[in-house]
Amino acid sequence: MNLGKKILHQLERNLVPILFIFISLVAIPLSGFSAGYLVQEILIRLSRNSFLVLALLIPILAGMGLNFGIVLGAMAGEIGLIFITDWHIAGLQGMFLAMILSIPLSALLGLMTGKILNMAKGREMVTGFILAFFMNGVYQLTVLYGMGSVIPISSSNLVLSRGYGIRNAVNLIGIRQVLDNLIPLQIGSINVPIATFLLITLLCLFVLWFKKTKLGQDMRAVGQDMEVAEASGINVERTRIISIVISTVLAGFGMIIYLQNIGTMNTYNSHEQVGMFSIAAILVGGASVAKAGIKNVFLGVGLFHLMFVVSPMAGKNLIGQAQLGEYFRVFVSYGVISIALVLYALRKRRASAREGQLLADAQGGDE
Amino acid sequence: MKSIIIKSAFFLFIVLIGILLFVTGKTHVILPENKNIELNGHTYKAFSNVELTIDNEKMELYPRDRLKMEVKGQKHVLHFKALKRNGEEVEITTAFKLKLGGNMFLLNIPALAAEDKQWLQEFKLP
Repeated sequence: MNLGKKILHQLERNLVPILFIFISLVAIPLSGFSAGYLVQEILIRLSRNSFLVLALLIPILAGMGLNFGIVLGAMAGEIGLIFITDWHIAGLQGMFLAMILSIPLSALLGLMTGKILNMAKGREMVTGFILAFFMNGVYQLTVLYGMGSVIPISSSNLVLSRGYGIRNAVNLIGIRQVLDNLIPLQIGSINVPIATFLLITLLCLFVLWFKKTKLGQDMRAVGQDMEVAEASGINVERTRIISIVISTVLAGFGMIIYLQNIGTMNTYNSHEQVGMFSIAAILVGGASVAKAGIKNVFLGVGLFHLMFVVSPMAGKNLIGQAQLGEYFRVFVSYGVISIALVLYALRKRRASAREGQLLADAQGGDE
Repeated sequence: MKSIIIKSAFFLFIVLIGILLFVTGKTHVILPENKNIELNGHTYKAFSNVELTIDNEKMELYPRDRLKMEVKGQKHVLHFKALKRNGEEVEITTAFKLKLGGNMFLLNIPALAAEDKQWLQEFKLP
């Protein structure tokens, strides 16, 4: 491969991050934000979102693509938060108790998702996407009609005045930023949430360790070729289910970390965009449907949220309307997922065409 | 069999951690008051002034005052210095434990000074 082709190949492989770096380079001066402000915002958003995005890595390893089912884990996390708010559990204890409460629910939802995705092999992403919509309906039914009537919720701050159903907004004042402020570090005017980053580092180490375990290696084998993995004695379906269960449980934890940072839970909407934005972030970081690593997570969250921060102000300064920036960032989230999927399909088609050509050449040579 | 035992032990461990988090993280509202109160046929008069400290949180109460504070966990330490109407000073330090299931508690300082057992009562909103 000559140099020109090599550069072109690298450009094509990293088209999405390059596009985002370019957009950010244009938008940052237009926004007028100071470097300190942007660094602080990116640090906050990295601490808020990284755990959720890291939850996507294991299903990618198992060849199940981008797990839109993390929305289900997010719902389980929210239910844990509703319970601790009702029981008046505050501080780190409240946050960790919400995590423990979310485990059985997210594991069960993960198991269900895994089984359904096994029935829809090859179409995991769209199935997961629709499954998230379906479970959103079940969640809304449970929270709007079940809580306060069938499921005991006594706090008047939570229950709607009619006696059942949870209010639209839940105040998480008891656990607001408890993890972020646990180990405070101030560098100049910038606050660094050390404890949150430590927890994220722990998850990164877990992912790295997990990849080296027998189960991790099995997942990699399943991700590369299911038939070969099956032939070598790996229980493919079980391995795929485990990957989704781990991802869903981690997403539940991620949602709790996300909401402790924000401090308010929008009961019926908080989880809706979580899947979309997390997937967009990892794709922006240069991941593909089949391959993703920890560096993609941090680069993606950083770049994606940098654009989130600067685009409304850049839009306002450019044409006098902040709304344009808002439209722009939503359009880009969906757009980046489309671009990444199209590029992945193109690459896959090109690779199989190349393999076919090589095979034909080899057969021609034999004759 | 070994696998079942390990899984059960892990499950039990998580449940125990959950209980520990519940007990230590549960918040309660305490309503300290400096009011005249009649308990078991005795009347306890409010103090002229009370300097109250619960778990290092200080507050000052005058006659007929009722304040509100939130505490985390069941065990707490209370210290108060009160001035009777005749000028006599009372100072008490005591540790107390709140009922796990209760959300709100009424703490009557004059009853506590008189060592009445009902100085701390669960308070339920009408």
